[in-house]
Amino acid sequence: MSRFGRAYRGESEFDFLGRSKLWFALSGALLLVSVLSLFFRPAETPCRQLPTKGLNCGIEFNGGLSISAPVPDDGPLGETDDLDLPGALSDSLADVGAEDAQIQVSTAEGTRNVQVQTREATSPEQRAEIVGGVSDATGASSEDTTSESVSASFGGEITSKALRALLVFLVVIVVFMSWRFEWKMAVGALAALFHDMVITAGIYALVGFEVTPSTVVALLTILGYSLYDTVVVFDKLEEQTSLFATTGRMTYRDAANRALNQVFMRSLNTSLTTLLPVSALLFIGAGLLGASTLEDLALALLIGILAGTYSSIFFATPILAILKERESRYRNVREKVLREQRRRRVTEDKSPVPATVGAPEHEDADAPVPAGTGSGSVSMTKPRAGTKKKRRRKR
Amino acid sequence: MSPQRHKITLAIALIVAFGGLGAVLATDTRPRLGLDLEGGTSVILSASGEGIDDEAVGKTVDIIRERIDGLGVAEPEVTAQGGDTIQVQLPGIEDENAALEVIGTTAQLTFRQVEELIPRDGGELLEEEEEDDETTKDAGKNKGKSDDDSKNKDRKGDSKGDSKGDSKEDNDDSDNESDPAGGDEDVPEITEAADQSVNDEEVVYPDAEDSNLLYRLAPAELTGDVITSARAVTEPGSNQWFVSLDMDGEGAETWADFTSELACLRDEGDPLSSQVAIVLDGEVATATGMADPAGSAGGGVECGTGITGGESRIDMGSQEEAKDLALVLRYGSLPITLTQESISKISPSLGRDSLETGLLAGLLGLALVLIYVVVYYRALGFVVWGGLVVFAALSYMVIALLGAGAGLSLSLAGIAGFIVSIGVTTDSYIVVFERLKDEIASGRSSRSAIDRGTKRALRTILVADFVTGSAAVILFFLAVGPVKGFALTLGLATLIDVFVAFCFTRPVISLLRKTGVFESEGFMGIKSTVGAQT
Repeated sequence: MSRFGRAYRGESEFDFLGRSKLWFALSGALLLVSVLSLFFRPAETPCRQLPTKGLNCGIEFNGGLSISAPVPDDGPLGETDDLDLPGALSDSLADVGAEDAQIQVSTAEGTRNVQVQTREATSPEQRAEIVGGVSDATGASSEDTTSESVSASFGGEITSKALRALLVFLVVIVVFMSWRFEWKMAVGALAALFHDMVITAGIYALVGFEVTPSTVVALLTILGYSLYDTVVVFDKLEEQTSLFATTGRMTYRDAANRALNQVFMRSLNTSLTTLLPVSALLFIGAGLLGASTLEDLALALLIGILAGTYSSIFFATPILAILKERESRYRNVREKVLREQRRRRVTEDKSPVPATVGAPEHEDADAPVPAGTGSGSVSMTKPRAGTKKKRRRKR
Repeated sequence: MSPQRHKITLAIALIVAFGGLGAVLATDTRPRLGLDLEGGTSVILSASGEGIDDEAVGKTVDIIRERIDGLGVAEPEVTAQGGDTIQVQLPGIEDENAALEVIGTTAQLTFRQVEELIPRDGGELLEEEEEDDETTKDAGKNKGKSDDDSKNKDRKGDSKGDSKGDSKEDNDDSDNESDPAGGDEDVPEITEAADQSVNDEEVVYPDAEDSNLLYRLAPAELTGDVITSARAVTEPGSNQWFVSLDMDGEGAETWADFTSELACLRDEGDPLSSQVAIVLDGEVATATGMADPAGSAGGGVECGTGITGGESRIDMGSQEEAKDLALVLRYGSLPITLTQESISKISPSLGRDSLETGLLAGLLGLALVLIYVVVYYRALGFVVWGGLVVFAALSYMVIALLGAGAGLSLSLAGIAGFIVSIGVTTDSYIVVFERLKDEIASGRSSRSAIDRGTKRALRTILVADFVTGSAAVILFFLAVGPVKGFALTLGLATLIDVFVAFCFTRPVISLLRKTGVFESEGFMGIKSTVGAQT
């Protein structure tokens, strides 16, 4: 039976928690890179409202004026080469006081498009003049010209409101999870949340993507998704541990591993079915002229969903296991189980049968343990679940 | 639950989903599109000034809405976004600059003497006038009841006579088009400006309630900034409501002179010109006469004295009217300035492209998911198909209904929210199915596996959806702009997900169990394990 086949039926016995050092190292490295790029990699247009240096903020946060207009072929700039276009446009914009405008040219579906960004207009009249200047110069109709103007103070307000909403949300989640599960699970879930958001933001900083309101929306979706995913995993975890660990049949770690094995295919499936529509959004959105909103959203979602699925299993659960194993009842179970294992190993070493039992210290176990044995050995001696599995496998 | 009840639940769910969808499609109710999908101009304003509260922002919203209505823009949307933020959405507007100019000006409150009443529509004055029982009194002297109605009726009669008699004086161009009754030939044009530039000029403004009633008004005597307080109050044991109005020292002096003058006019038998009009943003909120000291309960305003001390009392009919006027006065006392924080204009062609792309991406994503679940879960995958179809029908119906009923408009971020929720909804099935597999794998019969598994899985879905739902609620109330729209769709999708899980998935699985298909090989893609049980 292939390993995938076992995972497919939730029967695999992969030791997720035994390798937690590896997962922590991986997450730690990703977090470190993220934090470094967030704080030390200077961005072109750093967000004014945030202490991070590395994030590129759009005009929606920093304030400014952005105009996008098609360049019709029969317009005044219709014959102008792509390379000369910014210069030609910037000359006519200097007349209306926007000499420092940044101009980009893009082509999609055979239409050329200019994107102009400049600082906030000093008055509504100047704004109208600059927007009018762009459409006059390109020959685009006023209707086809898309423009966005945001004051710096408003950008700051959006940021602070989003941060406030985030804070309130976190408090509610901690209270809810502490009530529904326990505070240790809330800690694990928050850690996963933090992990996902920092990594997503870090990738944004590293690659230099611009942060727009769509990015914020996507980050908040990730927040919801990450929690949703963690709750599904923890729900399973709670059930399994209360079935086995509290009764002393397995260590917390083994019961948790069992739960993770059962929930693993579900997590994989869910992230796949969520990623399929998101990828569709990303690839279709990429071919569209000017509608960067969809692409922004899809990109942040893609990164965040991957991180969210990973963190529920490989980050939140190990943290929870560490916290739980400190509890005296689980420590006692663990000691008892370890004692028993040691005793069994001694007897088994004398027998000719090769040992299939997992390593004495779970932290050292680095290979998937064969099904139905290993760390769950105590359960083999007691019970229902174990014996039934055996019986079934014989057929 | 008995199979009977499952059947009923399922039937209800299907009727709600497809009956609702049918009704929505039959009545051609379409989802309202946001400006980023339809094209148009969206402006975010922040109101600043002393003592701004929700009430003042609400009043500002009303004022802006009326100004835009005056421009003739189709379906404008003006909403308070919480705090001091106001959002104005103007769909399909070509030249936004004219609109921006109108939106941004500060509303002003003035007190002006009424010179003439002009009914725009010949016969309506008699029936429509509502100001009859309002009189202004000197609050210091008179706490009695308002004047009797008969006197006010006289005034009304007089005003009509006056307006007809005086109409020959009009020098403005007449506006005959808006006068279907053809009564008055010389209806003057309404003064467009409503800011301080016309404080020293004679103006013509409409009544706030009845746009067919115009007032010709003298230059402003006082502006709203002299008002220190305005409250709607009533005397114990009486249902007579009035507005108690206080002014600061300087205002009180001017007010005394002004009201004294008006009282003299009243004594001279000119009840119309003895009225003071309270004007907010180019509309007459109310016009009220001076109470006669010789009238019913004594007090009143005397010629030569006026209302002294700055404390006045304006008798109003109902509590509602008194509250409205008090709000107008209070609002007028704070000079609220509006700053245009964000202006974004989306061209209709870009909006259309975004919509098409969003829908295409959604459909493609949906198709991929549908293929995946059938490949992975085999026959059980078709349950997911059914569930997603119900989900889609419900979503479309809810968005269309909320668009028509509550003005919810679907934005690009909202579409993205729904695309993500395809994945989350599918997850509900995955949770249930994986659970069923676990239960069967742990050696249960398919019957008890399905009962236990569904129950347990639905609990998980409920908890997880609660988390997502609370995220949506918090974001909706605390965030601004696009985040708000996204939060709404996220919340809706979560609710629909719960509904589909309980009213579709559970009964369907339970009913399928009865048919015995779960025992057949390959139904769930777990034939080896199920086979082991038989």
